[in-house]
Amino acid sequence: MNRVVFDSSSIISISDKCFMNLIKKMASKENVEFLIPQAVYNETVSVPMKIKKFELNAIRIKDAIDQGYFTIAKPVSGVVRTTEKISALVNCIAFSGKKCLKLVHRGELETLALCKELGASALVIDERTTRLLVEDPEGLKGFLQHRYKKEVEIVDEKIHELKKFLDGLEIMRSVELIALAYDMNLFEGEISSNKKSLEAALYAMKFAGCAVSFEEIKQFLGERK
Amino acid sequence: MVKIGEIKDAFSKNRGHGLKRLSNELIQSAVVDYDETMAELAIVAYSLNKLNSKEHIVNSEKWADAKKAIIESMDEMANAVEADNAKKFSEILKEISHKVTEIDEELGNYVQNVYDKARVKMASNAYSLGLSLSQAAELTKANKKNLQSYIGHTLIHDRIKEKRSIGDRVDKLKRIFE
Repeated sequence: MNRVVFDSSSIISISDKCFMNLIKKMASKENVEFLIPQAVYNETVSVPMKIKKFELNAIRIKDAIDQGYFTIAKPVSGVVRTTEKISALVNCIAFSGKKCLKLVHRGELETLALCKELGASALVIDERTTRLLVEDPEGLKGFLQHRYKKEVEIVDEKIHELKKFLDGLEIMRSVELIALAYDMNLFEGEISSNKKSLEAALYAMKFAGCAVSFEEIKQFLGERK
Repeated sequence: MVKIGEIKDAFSKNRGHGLKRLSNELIQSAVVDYDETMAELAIVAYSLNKLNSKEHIVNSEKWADAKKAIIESMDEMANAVEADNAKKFSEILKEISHKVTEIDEELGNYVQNVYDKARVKMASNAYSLGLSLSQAAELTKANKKNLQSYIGHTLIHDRIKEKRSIGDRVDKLKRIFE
């Protein structure tokens, strides 16, 4: 069974653009289990259910969970310890002057820890910093140095250790799920299944806040016949 | 905190660029120190600039008194800093944010008020400085969904060259679903 864990950022993007049905179809595949941490449930359902502006989106997500397409991950022993380990690596991985930059929220660290403890095949996360820390810390370093217009130190030993610790965890974004849904012909019955719809869907995810660039989407569509 | 005097000066003299620059400097400091009070001050500076820029607010009869009250509060904040009274400083900062929200509720035209929009804007700045989405939202007390949607309409995600393409990831994802 391949476990795919979702962060709140990706669930928000997907539900906001009314693509939950596509995800439900993907979740129906036998060898895949879609999981969300309890904290993500609280953030995307429990809290916004009480706010008129966000209620509809929360209902869409809750429905998907109640219908069994997503499972709320049960508490896993070891997550707290693993979160502490990841936190120790991540939250002083970068320094501006002598100040340690606290880049990542505990909730995001807990999601990484859950992935590690469950042996998840993939984490679907639309926000950028957590993803770059796992996949491309050199890229993040370059970005931070450019942004701060001065030297930002990254602790290489911690990068190396983090990479080793989270080795094997694939990071995906909502755009990749949507692109795959298109390839699996799951657009049928939702929207017209053609390149124009795919293009529109990918840009919709970008505008919903998925950390993907115009250039990436253009390149991907250019590769598609 | 030198910035309070600068904020007061820029606000009283309607220097929009000054307030904007100050809010950017404050949020950067807030990110480096992960300081929620400094983030709140950045939000105050930004929202004061926004209020100052709205004709229907500055032309209102209530604006002169409200502006005077905010400037007086800033003097009190400066005194609190001199006296090293962090608690008093935070209390006055809250009072100023309440005053801004009050003015906006009375005179504003939108469901989402100036102060909440300022939170999202500063959170977006914090995200562009490398904080994760949740971390930026927490620092500024911005609503995360509003923040994510706002960021989606900026070019923040176009400034970094990704190592892996959408195609690479889709290929990997396909293997998970096989």
